[in-house]
Formats: sequence, C-alpha cells, structure tokens
Amino acid sequence: MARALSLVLFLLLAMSGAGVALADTAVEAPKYPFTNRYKATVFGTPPDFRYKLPENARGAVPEVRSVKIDGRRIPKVFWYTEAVEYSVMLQEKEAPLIFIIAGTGGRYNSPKVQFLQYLFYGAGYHTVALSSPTHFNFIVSMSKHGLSGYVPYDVDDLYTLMRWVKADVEATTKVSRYSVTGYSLGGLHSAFIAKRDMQDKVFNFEKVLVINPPVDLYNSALAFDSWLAETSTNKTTPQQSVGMFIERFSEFYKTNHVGRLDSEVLYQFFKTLDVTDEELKQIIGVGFRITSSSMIFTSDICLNAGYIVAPGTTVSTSDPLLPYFSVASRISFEQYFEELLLPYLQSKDSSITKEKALRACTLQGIESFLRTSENVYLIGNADDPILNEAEVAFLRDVFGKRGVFFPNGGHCGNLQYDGFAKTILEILKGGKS
Amino acid sequence: MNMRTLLRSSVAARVILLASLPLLFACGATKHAPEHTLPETGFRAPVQRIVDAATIERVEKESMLDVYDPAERTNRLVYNFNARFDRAILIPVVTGYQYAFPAPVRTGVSNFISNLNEVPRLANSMLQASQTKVNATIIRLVANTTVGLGGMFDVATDMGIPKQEEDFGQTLGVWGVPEGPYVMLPFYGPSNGRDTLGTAGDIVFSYYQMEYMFDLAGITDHSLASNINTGVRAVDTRAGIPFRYYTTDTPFEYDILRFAYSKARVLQILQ
Repeated sequence: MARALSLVLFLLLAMSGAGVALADTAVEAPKYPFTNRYKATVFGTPPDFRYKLPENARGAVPEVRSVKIDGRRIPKVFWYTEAVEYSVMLQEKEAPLIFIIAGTGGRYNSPKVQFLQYLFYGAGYHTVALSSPTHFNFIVSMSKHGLSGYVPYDVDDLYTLMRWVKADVEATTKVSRYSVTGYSLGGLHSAFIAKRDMQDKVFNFEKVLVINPPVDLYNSALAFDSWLAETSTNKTTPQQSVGMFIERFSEFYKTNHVGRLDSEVLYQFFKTLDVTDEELKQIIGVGFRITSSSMIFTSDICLNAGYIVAPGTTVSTSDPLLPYFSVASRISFEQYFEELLLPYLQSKDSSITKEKALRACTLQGIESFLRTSENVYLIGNADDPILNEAEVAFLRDVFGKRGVFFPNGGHCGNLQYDGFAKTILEILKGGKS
Repeated sequence: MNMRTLLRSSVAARVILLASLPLLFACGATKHAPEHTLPETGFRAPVQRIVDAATIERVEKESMLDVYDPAERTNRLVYNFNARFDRAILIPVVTGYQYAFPAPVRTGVSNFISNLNEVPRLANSMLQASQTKVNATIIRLVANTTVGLGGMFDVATDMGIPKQEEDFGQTLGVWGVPEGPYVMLPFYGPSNGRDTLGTAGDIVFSYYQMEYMFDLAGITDHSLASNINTGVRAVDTRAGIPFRYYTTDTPFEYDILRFAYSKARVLQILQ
C-alpha cells in the first residue's frame, strides 16, 4: 500500500511537471541543459545541474505557522483549510529577513518556493515563505473579497498578511532589515508590494527581487489559453497530450522496472520522452488550467456568486466535485475575467473599466516606480514563453543594469540551476549592477 | 508490578508522550480582522456556467479523470474521516516517533517489518506463478534474516535485489479479477473492490503468520503482542508515506487521487 501511494504521488508530480525535492549531490555544474524553452519549463533543472546547498541549510526544517481569522466565514467544503499557512526558517542570531511569494497557484512549501527558502536560509537570512494569493488555501482563509486574480486585491491581502507575520516574527527574533522576492506571478506581486511599501513604509525593503515575472498577467494567461485552443494547427487535443504523457510514463515504468521513485527517475523519464513543442505547450496549458480551475471554483464558492455552483447551493463534503472541475477547467482566463472578476470589481466601483482593471495587473502600470527604484532588481530568461518579445524588451529597458537575463531556462525552468541560484544570491548580497 | 503491567504501562506512557510532543510545536495564531471575515455580499455573476444534472451526466462520459465510483458520497465522507483521523492522531504519533527515535532505529524497524512481509510476498509471487519474483523473494528472505541480523538490515537491496512489492490485490489482478468500483477504506485509504478483497486476504495471512511467529518466540500473551504488532506496523507504514491530506494544491484532491490510484494499480499489476 505504501508503495502504491508513493507511486500515486509520483504520478501527480510528473503530471504537474514540478521540479521535485532538493538536490542532494552535485558536482561542478555544467551549462543548463535545455535550450528548448518549453522543455525547460516542463522538465525544470535535473539533479546534477542544481545549486548545492551549504551544509548548514540541509538539515534545517521549515516551521509551519498559521493564522486563523476570528469569525471568518469558511464554506463547509473547505473545513480543512480555515487558517492561512506559511512557513518560516529563522536564524539563531539577528539576521535580515526575506519574504518569498509563490507563483500562480503555488503553496508556501511547493518545490520552487522551498528551494528559494533553503537557498536564502543557507545564505544567512531569516526566511518566510508565503502561498500565492491565487492558492485556494489563501482564498478561503485570507482573501478579503474571497476571489483572486486581480492584482491590487491580491497584493492588499499579501501586504496585510506580511505585516502580521512581521509582528509575529519580531516578537521572538531580531530582524536587521527586510527584503522581498517571488517568482512568476509572485515576482509581479513582489514588485507591487514594494511600491505599496514606498507609501506605507512598514518594511522599507533593502532589496526587492522579481524572478521570471509576467509583464502583463492577462497577456500571459491568454498565451496559455491559446495553447489549448483547438485550432487547425493543433494536431492533438490537450486531453490527448496529457493522455500521451501518462501513457509514456506507463511504458517507461513497465520497461525500466522502476524500483525507487525520485527526481532522478523522473529526469530519466523526461530524457526518454520524445515530445513536440505543441504537446509540451499543451501540457503547460493543462497545468495552468488545473490551477485556474481550482481558483475559479474556490472563488465562486467563497463569493457565493452563482457562477458555476448554482445560487443558493451549499456544496457539502460528500458532494461529487468532478463536474465542477470539468466545467471550471473549460473556462479560459479571459472568460473568468470578463464573467466574474470584472463584474465583481464593477459592483464595488462603478467607474472601473476593463482597460483600467487590466492595466492594474501589469508591470507597465507601475513602470515609473520600477524605473526609479534602485532597490528593485529583476532576474529572468530571454526565452521565457510567457513573455513576448516586446515584453522582454520592456523589462530590459525598465530595469536596465538592475536586470539580469539568462539566454535559456524557459519559465522558471532554471530556477534551481547552479548559475541562476548563485546570481540570485549575488544580487541580494551585493549591489549587482 | 509484574513484567506484563510494566510493559503495558510503559507502552501507554510512551504513546501518550509521543502523541503530545507535536502539540508543543504546533503554532497557530488567531487574528481579529473584521475586514477579512468574508461577509456575504449578495453579488451574483451576470453570466452563469452552472453545473446541472446534464453536465454531471456528460462529465461521466467525457472526463479523463472519471473513475467508476458508485458509492462516491460515502467514500468522500470516509475520506474526510481519514483526513481528520490522520491529522488528529496518526501524524502526531508519527511525528513523535520520528522525534523520539533516530533514523537508523526507524530504518531498522522498517526493515524488520518488511522482512516479515517477505513471507506474504513469497506466497503472492507463487500464486502469480512468477519464478523470478519467487527467486528474488527467497534470496532476500534468507540474506536479510541471516546476514541482515534477523531482518534489521536490508542487505539484499544493497546486493542489487530489490523488494518485490506483491500483495493479494495484485495477485487477484494477475488472475484477471476485475477491479470493481472505487472504494475508500476507513484508515487504509484508496482501494477498489478487488483490492479490498486483497487487503482482507493480506490481513488474514498476516494474522496467522504473526500467531505462528509469537509461538515460535515463546510469547504467551498473544493479544498484547498482536496489539503492539498492529500499532508498530501502523506507525511504520504511515511514516513511510509522504502523502499528507489536503496538500495537493487543489480542492479536487479526492478526484485526482482517485484517478492516480487507479492508474498506479494498473501499472503495478503489469509489472
């Protein structure tokens, strides 16, 4: 039974395309192996190429903490996730603290967040890892409006939580100064957090590091959606692509007599995979849809908006949920935005237009802040598939010397790559400019 | 105080101590934040994509994740129960166990139990008429029991002879018994009709095997020994499974787990 379950988990990980666990051995790291942007995004960083954590960080275990909001309405079906969770790793002595914000749908302990947490802890930081405001635990237990995907709302909630965490940590621990970082959507969030703090002056961030951000949330989401669209150029449907992925994993499992299941095995599997760009794009798109359908379902229930759950219906713990998943996974981000998010925003503020709301979710919207803030840095990849050429050019121009671009790595694929991780540390430690 | 009560009370004390340890580390705060209490707004989405009866029927035909699960409502309640039991009891005990005993001791316990399980594995390998599995299992049993000091060390794996994870459910699968409906077993977790039968078979087999072992070891109080055996196995098994309830980053965890379990069992039977 134990093995059956670990196999189950392994399948789940393989399907989500996540980099798994932390590297335990690494020699002198060679060049990042994937020059194909989609492969990089799906396969991540193989164990031998990963940054090797210092000895002091390896044995440490993050401590999970939670905050429950007094009197908050928690829908029945979410009984198990009523407190917002985050994790901390604290140094014994006074040290700087860095907040890490997860990417779209990511939890505070997802592999990428955890990697960053260990990376910074190993470099002498207190670290606090936060789930993305798009993660369903965050929506259920923390979101002021009970819906996610609108950057100004999400950043407000994050900023509130960060202030609570600050007070909590400072009650027992000396913090010399604060920094904030995040990858993907979390990177975009960290830039907005920095701008917010310029007015409120609660943290007075020493460094802000934006990793692989979208420039325009909506644009990037549209790209994902377009990869799933059934057009004449797509020879396979998304379902077929995922089916193919599972099929080939089955083949691999059968023929290789897989004994131990770890990230090395997963990488071996990836190496045998012969996939087209189109299939990889669909797998990325499906992964995003799984995330967005969780977000849509959760937001609809928390807001009680009657979008996919019939108005007045209370979903109970025994109700089948697959039909909701099925319906939610067919909703594109564009539809979610126009059919739920925007109408809700307009119910709060009748002067808000689609253009205004969309612009509020872009880095272009805070361009002048980004241009003039000497403490805000960027690290990304030139071949990031969530960015178009104009957006890469925008980032290069706005961040100037405060921006570093790697030629390959796709979207967060090389996050754990030795060279990438070392550059992250250099930026934080020195004035890499 | 005779040996038996001493043993009993120290076991009880140990269990209580272990169970209470994690409470010392749990760290949950409560915040008073009226702005974040999520009051009803009365807002309604102007466009609806409501899940209705027709949708539910269509999903059963179309969804890749669909698995035959006629008792889904009951299964979901059992899943809920399992999650609560896991959080309240199993995980705290496992955490205490990991805190109280160093990794080499835990590995020794795990290996010892696994060595006992070579016997049912051997039986299943025979029932599946697989000579390679039978050979590997016999070599493992002999090597680990002798060189591995009664099964405390898994020298066979180091020699390049990995464990043949065979259970009665897989044997039934090899024999062509269909998997039947998906079932969520209390305490045990995901299963199906065939695997439920298999698990029952495994339990009965293990019972008689352990009765025999107790006799061999000259243990007179079988019920005490049997309780300890069950407890240690439960903790060891749970400690070896990284899965934690409600951490798959989606509210559709039950559905995804159901799909993955069904796929995984098909793969295991093929191997």
